[in-house]
Amino acid sequence: MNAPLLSVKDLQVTFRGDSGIVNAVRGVSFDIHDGEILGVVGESGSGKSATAYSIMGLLNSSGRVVGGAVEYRGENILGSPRSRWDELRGRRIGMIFQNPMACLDPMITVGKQLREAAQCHSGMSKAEADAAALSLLAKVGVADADRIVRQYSSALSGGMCQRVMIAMALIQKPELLIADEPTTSLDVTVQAQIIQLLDSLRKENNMAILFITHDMGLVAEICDSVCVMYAGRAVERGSVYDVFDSPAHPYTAGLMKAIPSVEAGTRSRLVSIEGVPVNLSGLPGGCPFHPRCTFCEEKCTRVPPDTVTVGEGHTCGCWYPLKGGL
Amino acid sequence: MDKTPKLKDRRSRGLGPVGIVSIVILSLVVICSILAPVLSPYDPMQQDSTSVFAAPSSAHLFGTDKFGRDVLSRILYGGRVSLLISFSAVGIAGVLGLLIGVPAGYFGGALDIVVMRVMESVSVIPYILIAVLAAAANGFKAKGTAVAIGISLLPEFAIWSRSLVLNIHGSGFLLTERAFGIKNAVIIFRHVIPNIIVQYMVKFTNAFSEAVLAATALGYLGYAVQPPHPEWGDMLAIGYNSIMNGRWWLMLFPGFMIIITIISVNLLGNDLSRIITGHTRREGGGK
Repeated sequence: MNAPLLSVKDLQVTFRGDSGIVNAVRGVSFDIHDGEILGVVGESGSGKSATAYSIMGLLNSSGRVVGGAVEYRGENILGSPRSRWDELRGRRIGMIFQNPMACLDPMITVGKQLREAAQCHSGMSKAEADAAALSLLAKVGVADADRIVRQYSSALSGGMCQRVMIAMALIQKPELLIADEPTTSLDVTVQAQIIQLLDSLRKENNMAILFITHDMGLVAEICDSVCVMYAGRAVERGSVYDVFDSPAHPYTAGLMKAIPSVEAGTRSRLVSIEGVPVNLSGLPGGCPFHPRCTFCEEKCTRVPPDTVTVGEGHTCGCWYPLKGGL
Repeated sequence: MDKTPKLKDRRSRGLGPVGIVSIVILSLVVICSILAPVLSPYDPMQQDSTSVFAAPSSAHLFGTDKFGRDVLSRILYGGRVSLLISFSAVGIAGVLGLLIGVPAGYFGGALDIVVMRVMESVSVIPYILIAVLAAAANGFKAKGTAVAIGISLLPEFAIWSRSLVLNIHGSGFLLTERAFGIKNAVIIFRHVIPNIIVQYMVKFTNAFSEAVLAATALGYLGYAVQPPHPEWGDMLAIGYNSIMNGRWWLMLFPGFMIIITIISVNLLGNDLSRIITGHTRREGGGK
């Protein structure tokens, strides 16, 4: 296997909150290779966005990376000077966000913003930048690009804004695109289009995508591998086939049962995971999932589990990994 | 009759009648001050021992003072000083407040804490004290008065711009700009400031009326200008000494000018902030 494009090693992030320090990410590791789509799945508060923001160096002032490393092509980029971040951000690692309508500056036209993104790393002239913007907009499926560039974001639909955002991110030709729930605020048909778009762009440019979502269905659709997060830990990692065919962690298995499926028939009930997501400032001892786990044993309540290998490239953080799938 | 909600109606319309009247009065005051050399019937500093304390008449519309100087001319010229001091003070505070408050709100952290504590410290220094110090160092000059008032207004502007930045800080586009590797200075000048500038301006009218009040108060105390030059506050002080002798015109006219200027600025500000934010500002203008 080639050296990974981006390697996150034992990342730990804390936030300073009103009720003290919250350990949002507690030792997450994963690799992304060129052209790979890695899905990071988890509930709200599982630390998936905090992980993404740490990679970009965009944690807000209350958040802090307290341990671990983020290696971009072998270089640890955590703690690099601001000038290095300016080179990395946008140019090497692009990012698109959850709420595209809010991510475009309401006071300037879409075209000007695209031009700004195009010019900020390359020495493109205005005309070159505008031409690049128009061709990219066409590529991301904006039919009347020359009209759209004169618009303000308030005049565009959510799907259109997200296409513009994707075009803005792609204009600098990043090697890695971090997509933080890019389709959560869009309606389902637009969601499918955006997902297809990301998939085809990945194939064309051999761009890696870190795809953050809470939708297991989307992960199955476009991801190559998946990292399931719970309470700031990566509880299961592996290729999409391995994880979906034989989930080893009870939490992953629970998520799979909660995906509605057409084949299951109308009478079958969706199974939900009992209990509520953990409160990160008051984690239970032992395995953080144990209060909600149907397979919980005495040991789980006392000792946090190690990460064990359950298959080739398939790891799981559980004392009693499930065998043979669901 | 249409039955659309009233709030929406109020917002979409332009200036209301009160706003229009205020802007007319204010324009008149400003135009009269600018055109003082043309409009003044007399030289404001020319003394005339033959008509001392003359009551208003056709020769002297607003009467004369104890040196026989024409009050009307002094009001026209005095307005130039009072308004210029106020405009400069608000301009100084407005620009510096933006340059100080925006980075504080944008970068946050230690910079924010230090800047805000400094601003709070400045805000407890009375402007009169700063003006006295400026006068002691520099003589009684309008420039020193403007700077003193500007400094006293500065914390208000800096805190306001910082809070406006914090309002938009959570919104996605600033994060997006950073994620695209756009430099902070570019983000601040091209994205942050354009997004807050309209709301920032709401503060200007309020501050302007405060500045007029402060300028005339300093004039009254004798710190605004060198004595023979006219200034509204200074004229009030002169008038105060003779009001007991029934010479009402010395105090009435400059007092009236100060009051209508402040009232119309405040009413205009109320109307503008209604248009911009959709509801009437609760806080009053000049104290």
